[in-house]
Amino acid sequence: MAIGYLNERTQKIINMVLTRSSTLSIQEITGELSVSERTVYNELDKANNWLRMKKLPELQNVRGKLQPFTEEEKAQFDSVMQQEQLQDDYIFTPTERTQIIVCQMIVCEEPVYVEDLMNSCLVSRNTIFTDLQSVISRIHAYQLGLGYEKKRGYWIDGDPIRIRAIFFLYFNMMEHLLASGKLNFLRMDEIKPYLKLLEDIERELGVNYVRGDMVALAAMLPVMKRGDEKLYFSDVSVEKIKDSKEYNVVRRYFSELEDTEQIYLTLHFLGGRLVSYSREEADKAENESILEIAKNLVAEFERRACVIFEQKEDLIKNLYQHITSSIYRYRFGIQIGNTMAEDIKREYLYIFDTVRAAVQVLEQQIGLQISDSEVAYLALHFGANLENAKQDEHELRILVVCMNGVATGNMISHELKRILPRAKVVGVVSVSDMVNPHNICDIIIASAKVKALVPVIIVNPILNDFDRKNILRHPLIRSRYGFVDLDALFKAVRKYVYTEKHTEFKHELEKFFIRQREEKQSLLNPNVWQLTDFLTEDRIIFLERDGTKRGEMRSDHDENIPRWRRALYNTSSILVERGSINDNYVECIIKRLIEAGPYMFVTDDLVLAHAKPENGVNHLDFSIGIAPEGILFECEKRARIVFCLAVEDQQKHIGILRDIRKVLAKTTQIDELVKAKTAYQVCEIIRCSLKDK
Amino acid sequence: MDRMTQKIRTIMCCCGNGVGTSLIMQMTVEEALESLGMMGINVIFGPLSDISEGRADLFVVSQELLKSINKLPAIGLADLMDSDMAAEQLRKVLEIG
Repeated sequence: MAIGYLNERTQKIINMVLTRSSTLSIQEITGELSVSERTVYNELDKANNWLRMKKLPELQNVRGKLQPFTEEEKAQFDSVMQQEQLQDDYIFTPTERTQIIVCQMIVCEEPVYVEDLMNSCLVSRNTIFTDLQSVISRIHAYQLGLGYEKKRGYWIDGDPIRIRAIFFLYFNMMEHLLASGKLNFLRMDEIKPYLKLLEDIERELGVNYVRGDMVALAAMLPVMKRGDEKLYFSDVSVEKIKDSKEYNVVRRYFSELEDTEQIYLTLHFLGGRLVSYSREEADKAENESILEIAKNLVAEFERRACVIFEQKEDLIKNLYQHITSSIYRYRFGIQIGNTMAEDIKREYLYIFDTVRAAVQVLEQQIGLQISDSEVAYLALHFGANLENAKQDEHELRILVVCMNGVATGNMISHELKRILPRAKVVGVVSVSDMVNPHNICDIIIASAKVKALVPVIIVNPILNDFDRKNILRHPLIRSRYGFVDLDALFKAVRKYVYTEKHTEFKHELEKFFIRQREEKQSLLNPNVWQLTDFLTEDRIIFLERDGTKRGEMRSDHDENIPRWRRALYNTSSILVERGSINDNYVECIIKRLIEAGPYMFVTDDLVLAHAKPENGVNHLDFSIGIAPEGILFECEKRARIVFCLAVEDQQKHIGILRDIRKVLAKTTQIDELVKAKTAYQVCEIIRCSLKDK
Repeated sequence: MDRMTQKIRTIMCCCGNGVGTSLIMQMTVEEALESLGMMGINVIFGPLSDISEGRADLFVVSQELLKSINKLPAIGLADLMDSDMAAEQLRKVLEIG
């Protein structure tokens, strides 16, 4: 490298030393610049060459530490540096280096060796080796590998179509580097004629493809020309492609290409991203089914997101055009990844998730999985139109609908005002009086089944906690108000606050929750607990066949109690002692079991002994009775596990139940569990199998 | 399949207390629907006493309780955690292939 000027990195090191009054270690520099030690030493050599040339004091390296300059020395620098017009020499980021390496290996005709990579990335050998590691892990995600042979140099190994796809992805990401001419492994002189041909094709087809894609394609053409890669098209309707006018044009311009390569190139024209859509394309109604897909997607999105698009026709048209071209991408995998996918996912998570869910319709229809990056494209279409959708401008309008009389309806309306103080109840009507409700409301809350264009939440005539939660959990309401009912909260705590502080306190509360919402805190995550949150040895008890605790003599006075009740008493006594439940809860469980039969047997082996929260639960808890020989219940079922669950509300124990489904559902799992000799072993078994899942 | 989802939009799982077993069934049914590739069906849960016409299009209870449901579309699960079995039963009700 020429020494007439300093590159940015060398410059940076000198500056680091200049600004210090103490020593600067090599490690600090490697950390700061994210390069290897070797690279730093190279830089130091370069720096000193340059400094010598400029007759400036050199950098002194004493046992891995650069010595600071004296004030006089620094003054010398100042005068020289001012005259120095610094040449901009770009330093690639590690990610950029990875992309360069991958692309270089794919398109270079000559064998690629470490030295070549050093030249195009401007880093040392060691840095390249580190980069190669990250290349391997990155391409591994696309089922590709890295190959090396002495004669052949490095190459990317795997399905050629996929290899090319990753090239297009990375090439796109490096657009800014290309624009400023930093990709020196590309032979622009070789690419330009191809680019011109491709542009001619564009013109002839009367479409305008995204510029970066065309350059990438031009860069790929030498590879295609070699024709030594076997392209295999899965699921090909090759005939249909050959019928297209794109194919004919491609054939004319690139007659020297192999047949499969011609098809491959055609696919790019068929599936490319267009800058603009020509009108005639849209009129061509040859693909009714795609139009259908687009409509379904919009309908599904509206349903899930609870919005109504105002310019639905436009959206459907855009989607139709997008899908028409991208369906080739879905089918043939000629492109992977979307340079914007991650950004879209991060910035528009809600839209992305909704589209992801809605796209399942499309997946079913075409029988193909659609990648996240494609979903991201679709999300953009929806997002753009969502801006125009009716939203938020006015308050949420709720219509209450009830079966006949409006008395219950009025009660519901009253409740709604309490739990959703900022929403507006526009009316209370009976089912038969309801006409075109979508004209007057955004959502309907009904105590009877109704059909409407707007979302409907069905509730009990008298709202219970479950209904309230259902309402608050509805996406439309949740998106507006979050979960916290400030007024109710304030009401609950106000008596603990001095009256004169009320306003201030309320203000503070509001501020807190608004901030929380902004930080996207998990307001929506209900308070959910896991099995492991409670799983301790003292919650586990071993039971004999007759329901007594293992190793304990049965006392005489309970001789007449049926064994299953004894088992329940013994298991639940743990919870009573812990204060999680009172005795009444146990009695209620027993009563339910006698009345309603064996429904608490969630499997043949497991009885989930529980009653209602109001039956005497202080807080969520559970205990587990292990009965290796089984305990016979009145319904002739034999439980090997008595799982006593103290249910605090409708919600909190959901995670525990989910875990039960995971680790206690199968007979084999129970077989394993009852083999345990100690409570500790039981905990370990459960914990291990939860971890495996 | 579109035809079917329109027919059944809400499934309600019920048990005596409406907090434990029904919640387990809800998970099972949701898993079963997923394995059947059925989307857009709302699965709710609650106590037996909440069962009423119009509350849901299909009710799911444990087999023993099936007889207590009159005149409403319902299925009974023998094993509350076996989503494969539930899927079989749902397949029949939903009339998929």
